Amino acid sequence: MSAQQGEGNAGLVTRLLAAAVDAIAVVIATAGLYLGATGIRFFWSPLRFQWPQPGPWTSTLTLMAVAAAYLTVAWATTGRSYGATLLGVRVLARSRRRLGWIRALLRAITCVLVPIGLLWTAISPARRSWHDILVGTVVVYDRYRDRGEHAMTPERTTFPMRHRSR
Amino acid sequence: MIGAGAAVVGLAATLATPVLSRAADLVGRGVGLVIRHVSDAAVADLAERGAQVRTEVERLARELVGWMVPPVVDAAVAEMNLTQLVARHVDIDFLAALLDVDAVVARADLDAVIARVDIAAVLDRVDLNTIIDRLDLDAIVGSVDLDAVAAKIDLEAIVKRVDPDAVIARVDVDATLARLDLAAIARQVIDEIDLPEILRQSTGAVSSEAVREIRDESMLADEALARFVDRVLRRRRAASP
Repeated sequence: MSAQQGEGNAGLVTRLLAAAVDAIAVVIATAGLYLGATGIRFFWSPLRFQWPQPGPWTSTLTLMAVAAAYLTVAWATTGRSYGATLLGVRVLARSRRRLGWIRALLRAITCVLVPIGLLWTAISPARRSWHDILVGTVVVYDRYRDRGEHAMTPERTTFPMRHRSR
Repeated sequence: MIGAGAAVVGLAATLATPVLSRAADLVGRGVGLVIRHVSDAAVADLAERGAQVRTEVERLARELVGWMVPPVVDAAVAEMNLTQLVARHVDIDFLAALLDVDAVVARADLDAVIARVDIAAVLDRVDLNTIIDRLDLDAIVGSVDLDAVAAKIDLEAIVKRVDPDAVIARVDVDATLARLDLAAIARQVIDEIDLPEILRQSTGAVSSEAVREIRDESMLADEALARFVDRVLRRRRAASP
């Protein structure tokens, strides 16, 4: 497998940045969920109200569940989470079609359980993480679609690199 | 009237003259008869007396005429309409043509005439409103060449004479500002500007620029990392186009 096969696929740095943005989004969403649940609890029994103090396991599991749900919905509908939108990348099937719900859910679960698999992107000549290999997906640069200039076809997903003059 | 009187006197004299000459003739014949039969001394004496009588008669005749003529003339003038008479018989145009008007005017002391005129009284009698009503001001203004008038005005000189400091000193800025509803004006300006739209556009432009920059940088970092990994793993890498 030659290194050229990864041309047009997003590299590790972009994907890590997108993942970091998504992680922040998930934390904010989880905090919102927590505050919402607390508010409901306060209205349910205001006299006996105490701030809920979930244990580490509960917190971790909640975070993972929120992340999995968020990523599943994002990838199955548009192929883009918030981080992916910001960084201009999109998760597609190898056929460059949109993921189905099941494949999106599987990829989300593997991403949440084994996030370290993302690092394989740097080593993989096709710039694919463990999750991509396991579920049969690719992450492509798709920034031109923001301007309606780029069709989601295999031929057009090759992104021309910008040559910097320094 | 005087002229008319003189004419009447002349007329009377003309009428009286034949009577007088007839009387003188009779007297002369009588005197001739006497002279043939009297001595020279007596004739001389009589001639002298005759001359005296003739002189006296002439005097009396003149007195008689002078006594009789004025009432007669008055009565005649009263009977006649002299104006109509003159108008009927006198060619006034002809007489006017004979007049040397220039000479008359040259003889007249116009300054004295004007000095005697009471101009204020004349002006009081003039009805200016009527005169102005009759004037067609539009036509007058239309016939004025305003461009030519404006061209003749030396605006530079006029402006130089204006003292801007004095003009500004007379302006009551506080009163002017007090009359302005600054709040309403500011509100109107803000309404016209659509500030939120401008903020939205500028924020959007800034953020989209920042996002583009992040994407570019991350792609370059991807590429650099891929090259580094290829080098570490001794992977052959095709040259970039």
